[in-house]
Amino acid sequence: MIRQKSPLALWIILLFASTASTTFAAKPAGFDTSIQPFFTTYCQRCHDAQKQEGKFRLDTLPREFVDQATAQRWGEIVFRMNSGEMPPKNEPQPKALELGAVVDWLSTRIKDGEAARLAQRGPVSLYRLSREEYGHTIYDLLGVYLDVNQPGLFNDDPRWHGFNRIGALLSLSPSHIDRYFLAAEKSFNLAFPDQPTKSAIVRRDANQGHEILLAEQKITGSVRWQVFPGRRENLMNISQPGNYRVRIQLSGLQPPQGPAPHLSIWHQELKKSIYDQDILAPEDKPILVEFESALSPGGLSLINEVAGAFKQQGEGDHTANILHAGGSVFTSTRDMRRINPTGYLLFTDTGEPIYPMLLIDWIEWEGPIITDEEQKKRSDVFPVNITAMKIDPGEMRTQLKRFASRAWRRPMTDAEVDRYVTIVESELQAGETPDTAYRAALVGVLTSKNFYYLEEGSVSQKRDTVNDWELASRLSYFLWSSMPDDELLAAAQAGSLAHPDGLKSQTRRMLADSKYRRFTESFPKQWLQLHRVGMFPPDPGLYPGYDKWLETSMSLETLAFFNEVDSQNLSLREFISSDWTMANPRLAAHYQLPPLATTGLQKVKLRPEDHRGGLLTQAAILSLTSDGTRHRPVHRGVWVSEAIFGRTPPPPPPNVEPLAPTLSDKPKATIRMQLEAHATHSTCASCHQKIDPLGFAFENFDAIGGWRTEEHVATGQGSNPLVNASGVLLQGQQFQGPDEFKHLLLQDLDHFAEAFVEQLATYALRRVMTIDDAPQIKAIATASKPEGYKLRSLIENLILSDLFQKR
Amino acid sequence: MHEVNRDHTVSRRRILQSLGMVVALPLLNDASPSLAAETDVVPKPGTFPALGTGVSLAGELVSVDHVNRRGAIRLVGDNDDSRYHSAPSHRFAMLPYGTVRYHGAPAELRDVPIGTLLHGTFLLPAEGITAYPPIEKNQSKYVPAQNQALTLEDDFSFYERQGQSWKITAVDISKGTLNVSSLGQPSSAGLTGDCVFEIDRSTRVWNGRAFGELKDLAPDQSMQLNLTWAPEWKNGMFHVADVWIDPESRDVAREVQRQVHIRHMRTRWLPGWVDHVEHQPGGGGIVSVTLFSGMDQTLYDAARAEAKPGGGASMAAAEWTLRTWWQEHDSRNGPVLDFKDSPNPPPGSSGLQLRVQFSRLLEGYRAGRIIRFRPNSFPNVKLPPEARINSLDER
Repeated sequence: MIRQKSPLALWIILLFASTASTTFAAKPAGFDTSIQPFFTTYCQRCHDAQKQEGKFRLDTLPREFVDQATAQRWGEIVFRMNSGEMPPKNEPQPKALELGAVVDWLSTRIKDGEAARLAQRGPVSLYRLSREEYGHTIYDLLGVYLDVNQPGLFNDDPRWHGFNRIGALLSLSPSHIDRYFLAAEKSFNLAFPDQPTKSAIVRRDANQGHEILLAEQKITGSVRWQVFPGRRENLMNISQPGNYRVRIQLSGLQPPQGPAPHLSIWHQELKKSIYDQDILAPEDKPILVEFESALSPGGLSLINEVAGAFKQQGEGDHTANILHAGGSVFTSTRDMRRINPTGYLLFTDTGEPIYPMLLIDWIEWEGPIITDEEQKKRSDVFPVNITAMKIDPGEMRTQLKRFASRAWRRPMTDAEVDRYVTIVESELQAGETPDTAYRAALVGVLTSKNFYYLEEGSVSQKRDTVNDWELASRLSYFLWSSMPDDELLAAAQAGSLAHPDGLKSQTRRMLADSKYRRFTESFPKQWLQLHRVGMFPPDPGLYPGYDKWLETSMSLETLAFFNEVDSQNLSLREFISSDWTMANPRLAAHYQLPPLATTGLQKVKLRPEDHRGGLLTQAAILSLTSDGTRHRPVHRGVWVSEAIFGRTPPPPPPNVEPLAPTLSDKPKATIRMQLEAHATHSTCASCHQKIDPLGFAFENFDAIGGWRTEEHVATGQGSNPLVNASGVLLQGQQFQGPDEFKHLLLQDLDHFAEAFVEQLATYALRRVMTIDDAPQIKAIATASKPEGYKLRSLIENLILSDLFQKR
Repeated sequence: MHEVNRDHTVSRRRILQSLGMVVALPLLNDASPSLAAETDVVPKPGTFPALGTGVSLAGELVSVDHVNRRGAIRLVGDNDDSRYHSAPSHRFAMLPYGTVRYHGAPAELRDVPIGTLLHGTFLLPAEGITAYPPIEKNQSKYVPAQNQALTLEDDFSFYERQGQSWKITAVDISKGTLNVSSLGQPSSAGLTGDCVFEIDRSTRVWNGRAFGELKDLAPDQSMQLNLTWAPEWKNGMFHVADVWIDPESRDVAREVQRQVHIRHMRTRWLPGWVDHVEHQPGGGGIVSVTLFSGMDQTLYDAARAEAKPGGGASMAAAEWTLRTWWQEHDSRNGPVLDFKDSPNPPPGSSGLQLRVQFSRLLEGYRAGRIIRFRPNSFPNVKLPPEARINSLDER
């Protein structure tokens, strides 16, 4: 039976019939009927065998787009047509729609050709580990936290539409080799330090050193650090890397009409926050915050990170800094005698906070904490019988083989063992101690391509599917972003992974493992391109309520939302529309939801008047498509197209004039009004008709995702114009606002499901999907439909599919 | 000699009674519960004292800590031999709204030379203020507990304010005596009637716009004078330090001091305290302040003049001593919204209340806290280091 297409499905088909797929490399069909007549009419009179204007012949240019050199020639043709250079002004000119159709068609083919090149695979495919995967793998191999984000260790990985694990992009340069050596040495130094790691508890108490002063001044109570907005208390210093347990006793006071205070622990060397939490606790009832975190050496500051912060230390805000200088100490809002009167007033006479305030009593950190499980991971790396004077050759060989087999995720051959034994022997001959010589071999294991590359296929044997060891790694790096554990390797060794039952059994075990959390964090970040959140910090003048914590909360919401859909095994439709979200007090205030009584991310029921639900109306999504000053409907449209439909529209033509601010003597105009004027231009209209409605649906949201009914326009005459969130799709379906747009999307979930599977497969298989993969992707989606497109079902069906085992 | 002394004793008892020591003496002896209600007034931050409270004391200025507005006076003699031999000087601190007048114009302690006889009104130490001078555990019986000065005036200011002047009845340069008799409205405390003072060549005679000589003193001249220490101070003898023998000389002295005062206040700013704070979201608020009394009227007019579009004022947090921290840097500035003048303000208050809008408030902007108010027309200058407070322990 042929399924009836919904109107939206038809629209989507029409929309993307002439736009580029991010993935499916297609054979160029329709050239003779769609393109050749245009060339014949407008181009080939000059670019044929006779005239060869500009020494260029169009009639002989191969109709082929996968070959890079040829594709570049076609790209040049598109560029010249788009820019209006061709045909020349004194030649017959095509109509705008004619030109637009040809540019669309060619752009699609060029994009498809690029996808096909990225997906090309030889007898052996090498997929380098991403920076994130490298760190996870080192932890699972040696039980140590190597901070791969520390300055000077690894560069950021290149991304393809958000994905940073595409093998074709993760190339290797000499500098990588150098960094792999450095990373390997660091890893072993952490695992086997020269001096035994000593765990210690360090405590900093605000009252310490003030006892005499308090007695002299007859002040009762204990001194507390009053941490006002933007204040940094440099309280922690980590000398040994490792996992630490941190405990803080503090109060968090929220002003009547302001946000909750927010504790952020900032790593000064890494320049990033390692812990974030809103704090709500009365002055007289402090709470204990406790967490564990892997910490690199360096200083850490406790910051009250909220909007409207006073200037930071060192930035010259004397009025803020003096609150902690000149002998000022804070004990209680009931006794402000020892607070410098020239500092900001932080509390009213009745003790009510004027700003979000943190009052910290003490902080304590314990570590490095080494668990038995971590210790066990590295217990059999070094031979037991190694001393300063000698090493047992047999044991060395056994240990080396065992370690390398785990690290390389497949058995180490005897020939390979020989090579590494040779390293040890040459080091010994050079006068190194057995310990140092053996360590050199271990470093060699981690700097081998067998470690930092996932290798699929073999030179000697042509095969279209992965073998058991490769499948184990594919599965493991998909769900855990790391190496297979012993049980998975054992399953590969036993051959049970080749059977669907064995594969399903291992999959379910892995989904239940805590390491699966790496997937629920990493995949949505890459799929939804969350790395772009905060890339263009909003102008504080236009968005004074925006702060770092709001920015972080935005991403946290989206990640927690994905995690909730996953852990509850909900349907993909929740991504489009839901009557709940995951919010913390900061986001609740941003969304104008009822205030939350407790801190932390929590599942919040949404009302229709909240205008939220699903991914598309989350602040992270709405802000990542904006720049620092305004929302960008076209970018939103492109994002929806890419992330939800898996399709990338053609790039804009060159030399497009940017939108100019409204002139001061003209009526104020929304961005949409300006765009609509812009899109009437012949070279723009054809694309914008397809892209813009996807973005216009979210006109009710400003650049940071705040709800609005009118658009703030800085220049021009009259009052701010009302926003217009209505739209008409190509097939005539009308919508009025984001809810109706989402409703239209929900009417045809099948296409979203297929696009989602495509994204999932791109992440899992570490390559761009092509048109050849389309049937299998469709099959996976179809298999998941009876259960209502539940997320876990989709993941399982992908893993159990032929596509997952295809090379 | 013995006879002379007896005569002196008789005449000086009358003088002492006139100087207000009748009130002071019972207090020193702590023997008059009936007077305690009006003299045992404890100042409270944020509240001006009622009219007529405090005790009147007079004495010669013997030490000054002008930065902290503190000093000490040697209370005038009262014929008590024991006190004459052993009484310590009376250390005092100016109340924040306490005023000093010198040469008939507003002044600071720094303007008053050591040795000047001052007339003052004093209250008990303020509630919650631990400022110097503390009441000592074994306080001398000769030292009154009232050590917070509400007013201090030299003779010129004291008598002129009350409408009293002096007429020379006799001058004997060779003997060094000046016989005078009070004119006009008799002062409520202080000397009245006939008095005999010492003069010599150290006595400054103000005549017109210049200094004169002793020979310029002549019977029937109407004058003001400033007294200072003399031998036999125990028995109320005084030396004339300055004498103004005509109206022009008094105008000159008054105007010079007024200008000294104006110059000083324009850089130190006008003291007052916070009456009320109206908080606004985001840390801002409207602060109502009342300026203290005792300043030249042109300074109050300058404050009032800022209540207009484009006008404004800075407010620096100050301490009980009126010292500020780093006023040109740590004060906040905002528009003056409006002002109000209250008739018949209590002692210490100018009656001028202003409301200032601030985008952010300071810890020192709490009701009852002292501030320094700078109309935008005043200069915003850095004070010398010894004038600034650098730590909370310096307060």
